[in-house]
Amino acid sequence: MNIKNYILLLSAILSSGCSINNKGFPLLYKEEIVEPSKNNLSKQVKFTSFGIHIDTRSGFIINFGYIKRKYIYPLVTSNDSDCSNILDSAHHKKIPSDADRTPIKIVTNQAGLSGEFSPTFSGVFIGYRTRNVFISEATNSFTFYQSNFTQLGEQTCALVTKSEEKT
Amino acid sequence: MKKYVLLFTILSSVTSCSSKHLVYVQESSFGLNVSVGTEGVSKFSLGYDRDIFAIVPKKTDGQDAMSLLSVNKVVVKSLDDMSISEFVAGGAPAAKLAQDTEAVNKLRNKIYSSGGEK
Repeated sequence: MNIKNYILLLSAILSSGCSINNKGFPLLYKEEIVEPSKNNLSKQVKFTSFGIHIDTRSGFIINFGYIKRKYIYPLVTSNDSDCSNILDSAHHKKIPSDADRTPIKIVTNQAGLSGEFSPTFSGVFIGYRTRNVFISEATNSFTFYQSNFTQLGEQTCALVTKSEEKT
Repeated sequence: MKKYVLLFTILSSVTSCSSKHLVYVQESSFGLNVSVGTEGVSKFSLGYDRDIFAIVPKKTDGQDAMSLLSVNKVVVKSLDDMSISEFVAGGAPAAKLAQDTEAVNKLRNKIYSSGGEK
């Protein structure tokens, strides 16, 4: 296959749909801030993409096919706050504007072909999978609570205390 | 083919360096999966597979790995249809909670009773 054929093939693939770092064509890509119905102390961002999706923010990830991913960003606190309190309190709602830039949890559903090269994980996958990744800096303290049982209503709480901010 | 294997090996060795993050992964898959994790944890699977694993950063002598306390309830209906109720604490809050039996029991009751409450 000569270079012209490679360019034609690449153009055909790109024209079918493409998104990079969660930005892409509206018809094939959707991003939204999720707001749980009940208690929420976190920032949640969900995106759905069809076609090619490339993510270079934490290593290098490329997906061909369908991918749905939800990022949960924690609220950064200056003391050792505890999410267990949210279990007893009704209607806590705060989407932090100053949320940590590192998500504490990433939920992924995907179908197709993907290659992933990140600081903690590298691999190639073909098929369908669902993956929940919980991540925290080893020096940080955190509490996380989430429930999506329908009878209870969705609740999410993610609080992180950074080591340098502890008193 | 050799150059692709070499490329994969190089990318893996560069990006899979030791991390300062605690990572906890739950994964269900159907298909072909070839992967390499930190500290040389490799995997090959074909067909249905379910994995639960954690990557804990190395500590020097005298240091403790991160304290972790977790209470979970999961109801799985299909690969992408599951109801989850979970509480996870790491670091100081986990150590503090672990010493408070009453607080842990309260958490367990709340998590396990979720779904039955309104």
